Amino acid sequence: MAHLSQQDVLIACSCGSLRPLIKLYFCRHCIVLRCGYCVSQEVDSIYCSNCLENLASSEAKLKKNRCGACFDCPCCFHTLTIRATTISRINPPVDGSPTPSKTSVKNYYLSCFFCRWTSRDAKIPDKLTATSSNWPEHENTYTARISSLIEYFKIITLRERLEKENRMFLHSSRRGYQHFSEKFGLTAMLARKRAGLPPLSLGRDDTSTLPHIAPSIASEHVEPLPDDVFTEAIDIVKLTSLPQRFGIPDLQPELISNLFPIHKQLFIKRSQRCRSCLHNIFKPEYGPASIKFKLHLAAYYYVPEIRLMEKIKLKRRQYTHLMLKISNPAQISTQIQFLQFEDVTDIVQNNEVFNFEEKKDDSIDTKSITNLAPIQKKTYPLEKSRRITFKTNGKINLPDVIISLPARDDTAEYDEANDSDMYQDNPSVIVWRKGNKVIVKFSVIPNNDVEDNEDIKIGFIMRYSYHGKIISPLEQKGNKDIRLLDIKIFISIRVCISPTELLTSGNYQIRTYLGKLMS
Amino acid sequence: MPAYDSMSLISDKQCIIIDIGYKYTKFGFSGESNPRCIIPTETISSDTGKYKIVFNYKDTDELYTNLVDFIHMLFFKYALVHPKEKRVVIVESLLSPSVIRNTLASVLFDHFEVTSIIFLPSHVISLYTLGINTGLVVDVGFQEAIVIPIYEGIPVLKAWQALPLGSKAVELALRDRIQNKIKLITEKGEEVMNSFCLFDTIVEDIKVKSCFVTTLERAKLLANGKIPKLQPPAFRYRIDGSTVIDIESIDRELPFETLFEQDNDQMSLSTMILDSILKCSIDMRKQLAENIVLLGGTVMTKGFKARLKEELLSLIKQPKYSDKLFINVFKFHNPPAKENYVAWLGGSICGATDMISMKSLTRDTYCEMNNNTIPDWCSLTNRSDSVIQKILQL
Repeated sequence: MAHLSQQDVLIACSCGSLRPLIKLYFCRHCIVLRCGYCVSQEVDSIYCSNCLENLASSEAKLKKNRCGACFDCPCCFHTLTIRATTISRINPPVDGSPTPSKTSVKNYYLSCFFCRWTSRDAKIPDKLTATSSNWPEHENTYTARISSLIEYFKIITLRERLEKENRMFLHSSRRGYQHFSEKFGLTAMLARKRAGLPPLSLGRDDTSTLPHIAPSIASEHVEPLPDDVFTEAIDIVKLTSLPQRFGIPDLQPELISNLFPIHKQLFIKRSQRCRSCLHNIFKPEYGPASIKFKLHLAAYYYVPEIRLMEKIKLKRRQYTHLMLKISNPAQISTQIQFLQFEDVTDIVQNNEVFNFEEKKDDSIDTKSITNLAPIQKKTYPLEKSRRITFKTNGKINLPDVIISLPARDDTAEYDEANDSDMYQDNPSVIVWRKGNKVIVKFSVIPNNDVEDNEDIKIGFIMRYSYHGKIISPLEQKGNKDIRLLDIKIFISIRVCISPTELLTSGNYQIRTYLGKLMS
Repeated sequence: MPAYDSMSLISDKQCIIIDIGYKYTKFGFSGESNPRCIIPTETISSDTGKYKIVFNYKDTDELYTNLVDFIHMLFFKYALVHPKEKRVVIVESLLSPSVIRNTLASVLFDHFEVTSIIFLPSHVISLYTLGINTGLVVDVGFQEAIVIPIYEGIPVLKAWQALPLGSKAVELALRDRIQNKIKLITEKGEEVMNSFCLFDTIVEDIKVKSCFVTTLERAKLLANGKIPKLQPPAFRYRIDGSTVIDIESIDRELPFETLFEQDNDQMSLSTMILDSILKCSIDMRKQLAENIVLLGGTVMTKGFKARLKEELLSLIKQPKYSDKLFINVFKFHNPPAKENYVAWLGGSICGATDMISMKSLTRDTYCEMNNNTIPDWCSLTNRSDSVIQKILQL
């Protein structure tokens, strides 16, 4: 896994966060990289991770985001399972039969397979059915009091609101008295009287309509320090820890024996949407059991992947060769070029998004606009992008070549033919080539002020050609829209500088590497 | 489930109540009588994958990312709702730094795109849970203890008192006492002294399970170096299979003394309360002393309230206060909740009322504001517009 999710090669997302390629998305409509930080996330489906029951959001709300059937252990928070035991019961002799009859009954209780806590520890009586509902529920004792307080404050704020609205009404330009005569005029009064309605009150409401709540009464009596702290020996295993207490917030029991099973917290599946164009870029299938995606625009389908080939040792004031393996994951061939940050003018080093926003308009064709998600009524400024905090402390020399990489072809893996003949590669730059993969040689030198044992961090820009149009079978093949994308790559070389050890020559490295490949 | 509970659910206007403490965050929905969860204010960074304490930050950018990660977890792990078009209630201390509230507002509006936020002062809304509007609110949390008197619903800001006396100070004292008592049991059964980095969670666990606030009488004896006759039993705390700490009886009693010992300025938790009363005008004093409300997780310690009352009654007789304060009764309220989430409950009650739609800061207003700064509680400078009215009219 460490190799799969390479943390050595990081890519700057359009929002400025640095992520490995596998954690990035690619919005095909804006043609920019996106990451979990800069997409808007939505709750797709709510389910219980244990019984995989799918709940509607209103139902989940009613159940307070907890599964009605599954329970967690209050001690170790693992899932509880229902266990059955057989208990033989001696029935009292019924008149007619001489001996007492024996019946065996199955009893069910909850048990944790991890920490061995059972519902019997909480003195919850066993149940006679295996159905997982109907375990005793606990209720907050103060609910009635709190809801009466809520009612009281609701009425107070409602009154305040009405007063405020009345005040605004008075201040408004409508200063005539016509409406008063409509409401309070003699005819209206008479009409009300005839209809048997109570007359309208002219003044303010009196406070008698407020519901009565008993304000809390302070008392001089406080809970004293229990005397048994000085006499009773403390049994640490019988006392709850803070997470256990907070599992049941309204009771927060101090003793393990007062804990009771907690309903299992529900989980969600999320879909993710690009914030600027509002297209979905990641959508899982609805069912909780499915692990497939309806839509998954991961960056590793679109952006050439860069991997460090091997560990290298760097030396002060000396260039060291660095091998990077680049592979094209797309279905279309691409061309790659490497640039220093200074060479590219339209990318500001820090604090700036890739300049794709202007290109965006022509990139979205009219067809896709019709499929757009509901467009926001009001546009808000997008969140500011983050500052890239990667500080480089080395320099990389980039080969001045344009490398063309063919499209990914799974069958090419088994093709024995040597592809390198097809391309006029400079052998001092391109060390190896097969299918959609190529190994390119770079050279790296650490800055002079770098300390020993410090990671060397370098950065450059990979510019590659991307086919902007989403190729669908319906569209004409000739309708090509190629654009160049710049991706900021940051590499940290985790091998420290060795001040004493002699550097192995670059050529030697290549030879050994090729030797490894042959074998 | 009671009928009224589901009533508030159907109304579909539930807003989200967040009370972010330095150590623990209380989170839930409005109108409910207890929080959905009380979780450590810690998060796993989405950039580095490492565990992080949210309020441990170097600069605003780091705080911003921490809060994004943390609130993301709250929304998608606990609330299970889409943050867009949600109203959020933040319960915060009156003394919370502006950088935190500004960053929090920016995180919620810019990143999570919530509809509106309202910041509620924890001291004031705690009184809502009691149905009273005058009280001396003492909040003893993890980082600090803050005393603010509230009179007829208005915080008496000139009488505020704050000292870094909270669980953090207690845990530091406990750590100092037990740091050198860690033993390693070898395979032969010998016990060897061991230096071992005590994690905060272990210290906290020992504190929660065994420490208590002793009585004033015993505290006086202990302060003079005498040992009272009756000793709380000592015990052995196991960190893992082979590492143990022997907790002596004195270690269980003394750590909490840090809250009540007077420091160089002769300040302690109990003097804070009296000083705060003293700073209020003379006709409020009796009423405040008879309406003390205790909040915060630390006050839930065994014996805390009894000791506080003893301390207050004994201090009032000392010359420092006896000729200024003529109070001989202190009364305490019992909120309908555990003390560590009283402020949250106040937020939950407020969140169920129309106050949210009337006084929240909406996203529109926030975007119109030129410098994206949430006005302070007491700042009336250059804000005659609706923003300040919306926020300050509480």
